[in-house]
Amino acid sequence: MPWLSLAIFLPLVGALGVLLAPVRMARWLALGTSGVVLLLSGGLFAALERGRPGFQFEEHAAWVPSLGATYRLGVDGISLPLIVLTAFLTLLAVVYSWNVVDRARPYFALFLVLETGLIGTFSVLDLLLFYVFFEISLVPMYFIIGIWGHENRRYAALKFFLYTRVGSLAMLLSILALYLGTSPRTFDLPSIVAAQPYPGTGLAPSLILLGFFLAFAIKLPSFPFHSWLPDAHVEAPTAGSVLLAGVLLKLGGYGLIRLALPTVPGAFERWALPIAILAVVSAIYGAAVALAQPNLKRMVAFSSINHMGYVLLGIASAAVLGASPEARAAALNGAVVQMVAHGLITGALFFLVGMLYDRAHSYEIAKFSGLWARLPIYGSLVAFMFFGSLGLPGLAQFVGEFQVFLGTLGVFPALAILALLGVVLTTAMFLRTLQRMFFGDSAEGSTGFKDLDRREVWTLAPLVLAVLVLGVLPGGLLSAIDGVSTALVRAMPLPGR
Amino acid sequence: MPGMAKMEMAPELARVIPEMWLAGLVLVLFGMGPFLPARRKGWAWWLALGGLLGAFVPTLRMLTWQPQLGFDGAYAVDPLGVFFKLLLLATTVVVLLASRDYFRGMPHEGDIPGLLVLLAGSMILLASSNDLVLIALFVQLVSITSYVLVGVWKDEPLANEASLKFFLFGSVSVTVMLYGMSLLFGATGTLNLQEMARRLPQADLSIVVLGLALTLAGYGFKISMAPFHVWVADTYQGAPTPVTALLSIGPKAAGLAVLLRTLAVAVPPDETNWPAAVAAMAALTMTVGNVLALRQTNIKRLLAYSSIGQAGFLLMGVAAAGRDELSVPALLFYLVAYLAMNMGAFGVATAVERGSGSVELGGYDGLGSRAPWLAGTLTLFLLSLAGMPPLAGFIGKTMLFGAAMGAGFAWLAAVAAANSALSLYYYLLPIARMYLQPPNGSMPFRTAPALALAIGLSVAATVLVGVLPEPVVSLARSGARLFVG
Repeated sequence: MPWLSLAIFLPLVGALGVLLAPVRMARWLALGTSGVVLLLSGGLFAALERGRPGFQFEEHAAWVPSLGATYRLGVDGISLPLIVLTAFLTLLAVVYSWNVVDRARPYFALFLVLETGLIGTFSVLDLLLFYVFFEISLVPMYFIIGIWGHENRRYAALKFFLYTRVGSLAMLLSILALYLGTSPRTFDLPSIVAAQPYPGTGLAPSLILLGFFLAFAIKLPSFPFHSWLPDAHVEAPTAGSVLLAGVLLKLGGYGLIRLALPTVPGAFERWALPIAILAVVSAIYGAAVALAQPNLKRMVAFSSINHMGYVLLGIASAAVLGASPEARAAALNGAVVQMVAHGLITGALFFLVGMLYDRAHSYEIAKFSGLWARLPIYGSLVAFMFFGSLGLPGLAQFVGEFQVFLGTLGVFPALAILALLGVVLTTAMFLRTLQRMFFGDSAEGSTGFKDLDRREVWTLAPLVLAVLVLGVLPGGLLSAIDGVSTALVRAMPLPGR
Repeated sequence: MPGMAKMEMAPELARVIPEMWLAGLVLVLFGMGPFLPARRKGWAWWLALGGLLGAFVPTLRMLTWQPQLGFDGAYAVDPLGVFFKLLLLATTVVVLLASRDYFRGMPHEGDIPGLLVLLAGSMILLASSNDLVLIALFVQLVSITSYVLVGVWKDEPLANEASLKFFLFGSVSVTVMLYGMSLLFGATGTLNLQEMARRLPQADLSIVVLGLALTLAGYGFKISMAPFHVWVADTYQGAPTPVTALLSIGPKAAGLAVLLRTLAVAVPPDETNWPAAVAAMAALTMTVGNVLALRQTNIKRLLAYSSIGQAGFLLMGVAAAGRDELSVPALLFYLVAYLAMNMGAFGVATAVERGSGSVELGGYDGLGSRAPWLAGTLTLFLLSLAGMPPLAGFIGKTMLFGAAMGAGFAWLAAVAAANSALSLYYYLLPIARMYLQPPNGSMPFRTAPALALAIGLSVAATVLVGVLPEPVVSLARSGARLFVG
């Protein structure tokens, strides 16, 4: 069975169905579709052979033979967890949005189209096809922000679209350079990696890396390419923010690992130190700016810049060909786990922030106090996710950050220590916010709210469970990732050594 | 040539059956158009439609022919020419569909189909001309027919302005072109492109370069290449919308064909370095078009400047010709994509103009809820024009960027990428109005069936060619062969 194609295109079919179905049926159809996709991707993850090198569940079909582009799919321990994450968060977004009334059919349809774009991006092994799916995810998000967002939505949607498009086009040029440089010309990623058309550290490979880096650093986002993120995250409707932070940012990390790292390893190593420095700046900057935010949603948004900084740091460390393979593999493992964990925790945080907004119609931290006493379930969940986000051992994100630091210590020790400053700042930020909003006496604006209802608990419970399981028993995920990162790290050639 | 043995050396006149068919059709249409009773003007439309569709039959038969010349080497019958015949016929058919109800009951309703067929025929002739005299002749014929079509509503002040500006600018450009051609003739003593290719190396280089530069004025005018683009916005705005649609595609395509033919056949690339010159013109044209489009508030002006930007992208294919095997196929592929997406965008503009009476962007407010199909299709066309996958424009742009990079014009590809990003801004303007603004009226639209068919064909092509590009890539690759000699 073409399982991957099914996972990619089922949401698209579902989206068509949602558009054509009667309004009352639409959300059930959306729920059913995203549920089946989650089962499907979860099943694939369970069936994934750990430790087997190469791609699995491969599919091959002709697409544009006269341009050397094929419909080639395949996943491994790095991409499949991100696919499961996508399916998981899409399903929860549908559950959270159950009572959307404003243009509900296009709303659910757009989320399903988004799912197609995202799962497609994580599954393809052809660069032209990668670009296609990468960009497909932009359009539904533009509309989700622009139609269902908050006051400043039109500006935020436009900025999001234009900003990411600039990066994508830079990536297109890099892809074309790889295509033209490989003989015979091909967009097939494994063939390009095998051919290594641009070894070394010269101008051409550096420019190719620059194109990739622009695209993926904007997507992550890394300082100084982050300015679209606070606007987009804050203006997007809650479910949109969840997918934006939970999955779309991961396209950046994934792209760097899958495209940039193996195609221009020489150039990546040459520029690894500047990139790692940028990553640390990003981590500290994101945390510091988040600390200063009076707006809760903005705070969570900036904390993503901090967390994605660790992802970038891990990838940059893995690119240093001369360092010990164990450290590099650990850094890469950490980056991938961090992506998954951040998707779960920050996704949950955006749900929680949205639930507060549904009640109080405000994101102002200063407006609230003593919420925990009033809303015990809500308060406990926020505290849980806050602790998860600041990297408490036993919860998912700790596993990722710990490995990134561990790996980076073996490559860029000074930077690893510097990056710890980001953790300190994040901890301060979350604890202070917890204190201001949830402890103490209830302020005037913090009373009269109902605690979470059943639908909201159902949205969050799976995330809590996932964060716990990944934190306590990360082995299932790590064993899938580790085989791939070790192979990737070892396969990268050592030019001139 | 041994391979020539099998080829069909068609007798002289058999090589121009499609052209003769169209000429006959024009004569019949001009004869009957003015004399049809008011209620029967539609007959001319039907006859034109049937005639154009009929012209496909002899043209498709020519697909398998070997490249050859006719009429003492003045006229090329090669895959490139056949490709442009098909493209221009298809363009005119879709424009004819879109114009059915637009002109119904308006002045000259019976004459317009004949004029459209004449324009189609003259563009087809231009695209295959292999001799400077024929090129000059058909540039003029295309221009004069266009002037008439633009100003066909002679009581409309805007149409008059459009036609007059078009005419003045066109006359000057064509005159400059003729002067340039006379210089080329003086330098080489021939007007035939193959013959010129043989004699140019011995000619005085400075006169050749000057002659070429001046000749480009006429070509640039047809292509709307900067700096010969200044007539475009006013003319496109004032012309009847279906005519604008045709002008934005047909003459551009024919102009590109003849530019490619002239440069690739007659002019050695190394001494004159025309690829670099065309690359510079491409960069200038796309930048000018896209920058000027940013602040437009009228859909026709917006699409006018967009079409200048698109011409810049198309010119990349000419600049890379002969240096990368992707170049001419990329140009041809993008022309197919451009036909579908630009025609579709103008089709929706026509429908909205008839539905709401507005060509201002404000007329698109809330169109997503008033006319969901029109809004949805326009969104697809605009995103395709911006080069978003998985639509036709994306594959076309990718091929053009690749051709430029493969030809050593990486800087041009970078400029083009920056321009693509820029263009997204103004292509999103109507989209944002349609979906992110509340409607300013609640009247649902009714789109005439012929126009709906034109839009439907455009949508199908925009999506299918984008998702499954292989057949059109193959067609473009086989059409990329021209008779070089």
